[in-house]
Amino acid sequence: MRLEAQVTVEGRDVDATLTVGAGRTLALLGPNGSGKSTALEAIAGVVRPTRARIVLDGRELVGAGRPVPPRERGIVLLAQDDALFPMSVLDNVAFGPRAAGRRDEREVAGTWLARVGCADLAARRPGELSGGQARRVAIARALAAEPRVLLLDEPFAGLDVEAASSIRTMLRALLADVTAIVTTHDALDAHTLADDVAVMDRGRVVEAGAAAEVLTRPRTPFAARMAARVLVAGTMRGGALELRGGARVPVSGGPGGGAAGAVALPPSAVTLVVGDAPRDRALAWIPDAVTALEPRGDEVRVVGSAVTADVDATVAARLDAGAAVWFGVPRGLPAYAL
Amino acid sequence: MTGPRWLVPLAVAGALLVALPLVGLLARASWGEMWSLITATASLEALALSLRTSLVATALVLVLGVPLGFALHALQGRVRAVARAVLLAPLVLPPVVGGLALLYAFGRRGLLGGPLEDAGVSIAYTTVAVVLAQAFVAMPFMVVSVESALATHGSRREAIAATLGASRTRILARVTLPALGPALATGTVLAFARALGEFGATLTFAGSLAGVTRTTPLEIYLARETDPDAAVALSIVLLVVAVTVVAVAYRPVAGRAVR
Repeated sequence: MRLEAQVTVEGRDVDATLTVGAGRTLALLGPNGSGKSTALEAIAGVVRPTRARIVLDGRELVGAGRPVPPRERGIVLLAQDDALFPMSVLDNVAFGPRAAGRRDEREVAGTWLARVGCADLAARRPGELSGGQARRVAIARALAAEPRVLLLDEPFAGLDVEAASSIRTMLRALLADVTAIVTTHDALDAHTLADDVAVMDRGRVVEAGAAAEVLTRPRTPFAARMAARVLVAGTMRGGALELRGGARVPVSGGPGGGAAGAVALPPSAVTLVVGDAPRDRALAWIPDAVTALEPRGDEVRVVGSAVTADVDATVAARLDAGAAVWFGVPRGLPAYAL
Repeated sequence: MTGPRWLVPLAVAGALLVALPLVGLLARASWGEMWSLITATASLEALALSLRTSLVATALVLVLGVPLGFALHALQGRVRAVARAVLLAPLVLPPVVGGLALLYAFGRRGLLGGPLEDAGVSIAYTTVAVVLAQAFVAMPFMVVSVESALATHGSRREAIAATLGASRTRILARVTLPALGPALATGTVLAFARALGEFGATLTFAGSLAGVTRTTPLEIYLARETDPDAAVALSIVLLVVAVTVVAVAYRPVAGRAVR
């Protein structure tokens, strides 16, 4: 089932175009409030889009004519709040098969509950479940409906680390053959679950492509940030990237001289030095000024105007916004055209 | 939350205002003859009629009031405010006015009653009239319960149920109505209690024909001069039923989880 969707929701300033190949998983990567959930809800028909064109396997579900009602689309939404119904867990999972007129809905539901590891919860009510259990039940309910396309809205939001990690592993197996869109703000989810990635910023898709491509070779600083990478961009000159400030970063490969190119690397791979120009010839040094300091657990992300580095809190403690620093980037990273 | 101390005497006065008449009724009862008073033919007839008509009226209120609550919820803005005011009128209208209104709608020369009369169907002064009067005054309780429950419930689960392939009827039956359960219970209980106690509209629209339209409140009103002991005995029956029904089934809707 190949899904092509273009949805516009004017009230929430969302105008997104998404494509998922048959059996593939697309990660819709963006920060909170970027319109990911709205885009999914519009595709599922939970919110009414201002304009939309949704084509599933060549059949236009929403477009010029009368839209196909949500219940006939075969597009199931797994909502962030689980939205379990006031009935037993088994009845929740049997809801889709029963609506489809199946007679063996209880067996189907039992099978799916076992697959998500919740067979022993069949008789419970939604209020008697932990957050992780409720999410598993909601996943079983969504898959038991045999969706042509499954939309998962932040499937790990609001879960503790342990539950999130076990559900992530489970979903990777369950989604193998399902056409799915997963929204997330976490590059790790995109890495582990997705074949393709679309990056969303303020209601628009700003970058899309194969996961490996978008996550390791982002084309915009925004996409790089979402992919947890630093984008060092400049102009190719004689085997090196020349940055706007004049600093040179020797790279391997990349486009021809005079073309725009970039390297991307994790912020933890960037070295930070305060004070005089460093002597270490193994790294290419880029002079910069601190624009922001973001605490992240044990480390602090030091954001400059060109480069970002994750450094130990003791180092960052001596820094203020505006402080002059040197960012050290390894030489010879593979460059790509922008 | 605890209020300031000066609320206490006012609360006590309020409690006395409500409780003292009830105590007075209980004090006046001739407990020794209670059973024989209640099982007297006229009393039993009235009680049986009250029970029958109130149950039918409550069923009618459920069947019509729930859709009415949904419809009211679906309306917008000023239209909804006007519709709500009209639908809730029986709640604040003097019952005798309601009875008069029913008479001019369903009576022999009423809007609908006239044509019905020509077709050989007469409603006024029959048991059907009793049920109509009771449903008329009890309907607002169900409409209000359903409408306010829908307002707090939202429609998200319903939308998700639709993506799972469910029809509107299935969503109503399996998702919405179960979530409205507490509200429906409250509406039903209040409607039943109100129907059981109906007096003014019944007397005006249905009259007071023994065994046909003379419900318990009417019997009490008639007996209070001729046989005050019987009147008090029947009153206590209604009192016990009302208090029991409310204590068992009525819970404020707000603050209860939908899950």
